[in-house]
Amino acid sequence: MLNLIQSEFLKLRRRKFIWLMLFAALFMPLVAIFYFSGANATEITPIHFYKWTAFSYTLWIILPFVLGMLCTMLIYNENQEQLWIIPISRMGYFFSKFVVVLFYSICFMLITAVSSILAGVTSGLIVFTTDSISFLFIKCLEIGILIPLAILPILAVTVSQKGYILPVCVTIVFTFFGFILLMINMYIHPLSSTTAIFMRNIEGVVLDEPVNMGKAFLCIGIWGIASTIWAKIALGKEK
Amino acid sequence: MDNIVIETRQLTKIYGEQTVVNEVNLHVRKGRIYGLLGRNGAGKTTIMKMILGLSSVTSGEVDVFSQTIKGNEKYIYPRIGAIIETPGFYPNLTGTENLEIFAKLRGTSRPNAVKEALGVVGLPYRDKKVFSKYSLGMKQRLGIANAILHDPELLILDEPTNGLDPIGIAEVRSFIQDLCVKRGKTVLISSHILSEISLLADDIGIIHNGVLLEENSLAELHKRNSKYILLQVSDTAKAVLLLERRFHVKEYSVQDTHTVLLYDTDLDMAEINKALMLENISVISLQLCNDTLEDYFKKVTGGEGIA
Repeated sequence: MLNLIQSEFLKLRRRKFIWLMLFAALFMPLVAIFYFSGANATEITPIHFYKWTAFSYTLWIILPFVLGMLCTMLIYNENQEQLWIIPISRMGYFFSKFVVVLFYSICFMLITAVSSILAGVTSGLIVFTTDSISFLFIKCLEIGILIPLAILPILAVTVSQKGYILPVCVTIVFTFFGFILLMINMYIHPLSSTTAIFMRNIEGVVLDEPVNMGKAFLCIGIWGIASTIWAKIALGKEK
Repeated sequence: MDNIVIETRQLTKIYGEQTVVNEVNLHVRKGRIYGLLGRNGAGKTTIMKMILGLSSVTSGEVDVFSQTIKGNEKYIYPRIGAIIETPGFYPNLTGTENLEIFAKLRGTSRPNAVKEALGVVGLPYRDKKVFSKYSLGMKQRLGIANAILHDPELLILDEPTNGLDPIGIAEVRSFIQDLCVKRGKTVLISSHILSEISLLADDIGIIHNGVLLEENSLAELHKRNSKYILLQVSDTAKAVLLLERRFHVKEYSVQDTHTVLLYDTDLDMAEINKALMLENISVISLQLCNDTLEDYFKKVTGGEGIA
């Protein structure tokens, strides 16, 4: 398994676009600078600022979309038949891809955290405090770990497809529904459930009802297990 | 039976209504090169995929090293090197980097495995060129290098010379023969090019429309090629009469008013020539002929022949 994971990282050499996608982590911090530029700095709390830079659209749309694209790119050049006759296990292959997505997601959120602090402090919008920074990093790690779990269905679709059109379409639809269902029922879609878990202790966020952590994890778990089973069936299918 | 490395029994593959492979009984013997010869779409790749367990078998059985692949993948696959269809590598990596990944996944313990494999196929070690910039021939060579990387006992090569220039084809042929003769490897190779197979294989299987029409050693196939005496004369009627009376010829066929084929090749051609001349029959041509392999394959495949 370790060899498989190591190989997955070796395959990323010279994949410039994968690394360029990390720049998307800078998007919301830059937007936040413009958004808050007219506001009075004393009225902006660090958490309020981070809600814009890291805890909103990055979590709902940007990161799931970027990870969906990453999944598609990771699978697109694979000649699976050549791998099966080595042999490598189908599930090992699936999880090694997941590990790359997880690692990338954590890196993405750490960049988001660093750029949020830099954007806030250098523009003078927020004051540098250890508490707010540790909270930001913990929350970013939380997002970085939970979102890859929530997008397991996209990974399952990409490993079962040869092309890239369907996985990209699925990524867009999946991300869009995750965002829409957030306002209707948080425990249907894994991305909505991730938001529910994440929002449970954010200062200033008022939800209609208290977050049911059990239901949220159950939702992510069911989607994750179903996706893994689907991937296993799809990869094991002989033509 | 111990020296049979691959054996298929009544191997059949049906896609929907179409039978792609029909009750194929294949026998690949240890230490020999088996050439699977057939036109494009004859079913060669499907057979190879079924042997490797990459395609499901509709009916019949496949044994590799006297075991079925299913359930024994971990023991059988490390003993096989294969190229199926076009070799797929990572376009952003160099040839060396690609092979290093496969060596890592295979757990190849030999430190110089990648360098040696690249050397065998004549590709440079640690060059800067990425796979996407490779020519078709280089891609094919890299595929072969990957197949031999872990020093397997059995090589399954699906049209490995596709895209190679004539010198490249000769080199590949030469090292496949070396692998077989010097290192005792068993090779199953497919091709639609008759000359390639006839120069390389010890045993040949002719497949046409999914049916294995013939399976034999190349030497035996050569023996089977019919020999005949081609006789071209001014008057076949007079010539045949003479041949029947004087030489007791019974096996012959009259092709046209000037050509007769005599299937008894032990006849004394000089005597025939002399007798015909004495009877005032002009002899235009008298020669011993031999059907080529291509003629034989045309006959076997019902006249369609192989490229």
